[in-house]
Amino acid sequence: MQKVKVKKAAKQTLGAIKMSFPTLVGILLLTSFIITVVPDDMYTRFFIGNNIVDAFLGATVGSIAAGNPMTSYVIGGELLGNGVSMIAVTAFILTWVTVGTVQIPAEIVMLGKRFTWTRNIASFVSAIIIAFLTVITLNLL
Amino acid sequence: MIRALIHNVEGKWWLLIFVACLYGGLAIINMTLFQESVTFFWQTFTQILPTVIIVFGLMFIFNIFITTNMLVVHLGHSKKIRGWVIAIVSGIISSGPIYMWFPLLSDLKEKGVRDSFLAAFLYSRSIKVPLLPMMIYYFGFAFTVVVSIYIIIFSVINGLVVRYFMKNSQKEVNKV
Repeated sequence: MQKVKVKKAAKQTLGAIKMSFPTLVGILLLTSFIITVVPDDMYTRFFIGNNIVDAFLGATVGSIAAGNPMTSYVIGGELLGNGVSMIAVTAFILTWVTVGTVQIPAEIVMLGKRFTWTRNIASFVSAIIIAFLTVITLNLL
Repeated sequence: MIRALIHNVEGKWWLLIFVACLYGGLAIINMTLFQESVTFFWQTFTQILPTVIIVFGLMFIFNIFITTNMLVVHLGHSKKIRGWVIAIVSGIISSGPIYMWFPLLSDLKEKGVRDSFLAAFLYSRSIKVPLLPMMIYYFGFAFTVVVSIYIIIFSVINGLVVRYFMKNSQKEVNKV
């Protein structure tokens, strides 16, 4: 029984590796390309330095993007390294997982229109609030 | 033949193909930038590789001990505080893409599980235990702890918000 469980888990994990590894390598290659080619001040131009606007931008980009959360950490880490604020990056990585613009049609079919919209809007707003609270808390620590 | 080849390429490879084309173009236009990009990629890749291995190791352990059925059984028969705890813990330990959970959640909803628990489950999924080492690597230990605590708190808040709006919509339906 235990042997079957381990075998099944190994198969599932191998499936996850097969599925996410090409995307992870692709994202790393793409971010390396962007970081090398795009001038550093481009990011600071896109994210204007206003915490509220940047948090909103970060949350919006994260909501539209889809894929493994691992990818969001890689992109978020690189954005942080390029001078983008922690608030924007936090909002970005949170909405990446909690708001699923691409999955909204499927969620509506399965869980209902009102539930889907309420949940996604609440998740979007929560991500921005959490981003601010996290940075404020870290500054206090 | 090219059409058949394109048709057979799985979705996950498209990004790599696209990026390979970008790198090919860059190599033609500017060889120095191409070399810089490849070097930057290799440095980052070797830096995060140990963390990625830990992540997949944790994923394997989770896959052994936690099954989808186990989560469904617990989420389906709970009330009040125990329900919140189970919803949030289930969300944290659940794995796989969000859309994979929609059919199961839909089934639970039909069986009477509260919308608030479903919303809390979906929100707490942003804490990924196997990915915590990677989050710590990129954003630090303090950030990971603080953000995780806020996610847990906001899982409940999201659940309550969803419940409030769903209740109101039910009242409107009943009035009609």
